[in-house]
Amino acid sequence: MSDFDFDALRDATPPSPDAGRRAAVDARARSLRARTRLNRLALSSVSVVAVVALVVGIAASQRDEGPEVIVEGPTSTTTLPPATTTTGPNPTTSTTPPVVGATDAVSATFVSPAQGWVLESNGTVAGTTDGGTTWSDVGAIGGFDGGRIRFADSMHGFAFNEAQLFTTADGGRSWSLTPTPFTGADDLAASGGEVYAVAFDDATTSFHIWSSPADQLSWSEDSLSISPGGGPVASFQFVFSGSSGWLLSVDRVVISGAQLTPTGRWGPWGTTPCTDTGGPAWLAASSPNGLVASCEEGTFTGPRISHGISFSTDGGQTFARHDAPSSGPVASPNSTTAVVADGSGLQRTTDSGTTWHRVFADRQGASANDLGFTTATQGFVISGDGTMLMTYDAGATWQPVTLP
Amino acid sequence: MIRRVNAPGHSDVYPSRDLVDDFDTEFDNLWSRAYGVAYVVLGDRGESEDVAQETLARALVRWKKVSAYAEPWVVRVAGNLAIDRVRKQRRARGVPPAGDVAPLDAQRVDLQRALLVLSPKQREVVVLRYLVDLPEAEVAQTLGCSVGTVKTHASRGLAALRRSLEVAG
Repeated sequence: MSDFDFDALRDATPPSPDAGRRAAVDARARSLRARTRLNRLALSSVSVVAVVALVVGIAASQRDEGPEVIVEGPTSTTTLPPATTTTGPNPTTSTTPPVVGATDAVSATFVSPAQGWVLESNGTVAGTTDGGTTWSDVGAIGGFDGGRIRFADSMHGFAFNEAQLFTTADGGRSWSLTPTPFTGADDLAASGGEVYAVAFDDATTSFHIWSSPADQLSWSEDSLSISPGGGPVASFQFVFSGSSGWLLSVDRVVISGAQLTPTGRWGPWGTTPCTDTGGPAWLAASSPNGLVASCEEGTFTGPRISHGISFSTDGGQTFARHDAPSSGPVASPNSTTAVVADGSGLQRTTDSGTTWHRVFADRQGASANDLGFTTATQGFVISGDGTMLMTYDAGATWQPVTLP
Repeated sequence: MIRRVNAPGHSDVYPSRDLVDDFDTEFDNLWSRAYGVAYVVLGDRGESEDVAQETLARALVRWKKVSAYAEPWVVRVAGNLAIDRVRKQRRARGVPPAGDVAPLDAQRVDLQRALLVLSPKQREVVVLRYLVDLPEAEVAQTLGCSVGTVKTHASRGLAALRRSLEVAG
């Protein structure tokens, strides 16, 4: 194959960015701002109601008497229930889902070993109640472009991108564009009945974490301020396991992090992994104290690019590093096993990084999204070409699944 | 040369008049950048204009945040939106075989297919270096890395493009 002739692909006579186009941009931006303005009003109303409720002493009881949660538990894609509660499909008896042709999944999430959802690029939401063996269409999100999907429980879900938040309260059947006090979440996750979002705060020119009860949105802004880095686009990753929560901030390199404290507030995470290695990192949790970080080292500092994997058994206070053959999004089903999506498929270690095996080769060498485990054996990933894969043996083997 | 604009402090969630003026000053350049990237990927004026419009609307809403890195941000978002449209087109229409279309369109099909398989870092460098046509030194300055790093990613990015096409072809 010869090199691309990029010049030949350009528009030789591009249209001018005239006043009409500027006005069209204004119109499109106005709708985004209107949502923010509407939300401010909604928040004000909520605040008034909350004050009144507190005065008459009913606010707490209302919260306690909220809608029954059918499936309780954290929903981060890296959340791991206790191994003793594993109820996913038996890997020795489960039927391998049939290989299918081109699918176009963009994001997936589970709230239990059995129940999960996948978002497709056309806005369709499909669900499973048998651990990913079979899927069926649940609903669709109109006017939603790309983005990711997360659920807090069997009913309350969130689909977000850098400009929009859609929510559902009926398990994904219907979705509503939902106003927020922030403009676009850089990451969003749900755990323990709460939903968390990290977003840029114009007032302080820094990032802040917002949280709300998942079943009744009422956002509160955490006081912790997270400074942006020097890169073009900062990225964030929430990770939850049990009552523990972490946030990693990456802007070309690891910038900082935050930890969820027992009070429910967020505090600085002073020992973020891969901080001085000159490249990005990806984080996963295998338990409330078990963390793993996949680090790309030297990308922005040179002189060469290397890869590392770091395990922590004390909740991220200390990490033990090993060389790795590659780096990328990571998931961890137990304290010594990690699966890394490295752009050519999936690599796996079961001995804390000492040895590695390629467990899935992506034909197109695509990167992956939403790699995670729902039990000590069951996991999922969206490959870069839009195929959803499941594992039922702790990442040793992966099979494409059929989406409707 | 990519111009970096330092956003002034402002307490409102909406862009202030100064920020809107700043956005207006940058508009033509940013719109052209967004359109140019989208067109190389999509090859369709209407689609590319829509991508540029969506990109600039998102930039305006978050202008205080993105103004300091407006051009790389716009290029990246426009590239991602264009690639996302390619994904949707592939799903709706299937993947056209490169050999069955005109040579110029075949190159675009090649590029679309290849961009889908690059890692985000490789795509970032390939978009800036080849689609936006920035010199290596300027890509390095934009991304805050060394020229050597740009060369590495650009080289690996193109190699990944070739590998993906050889595999797919």
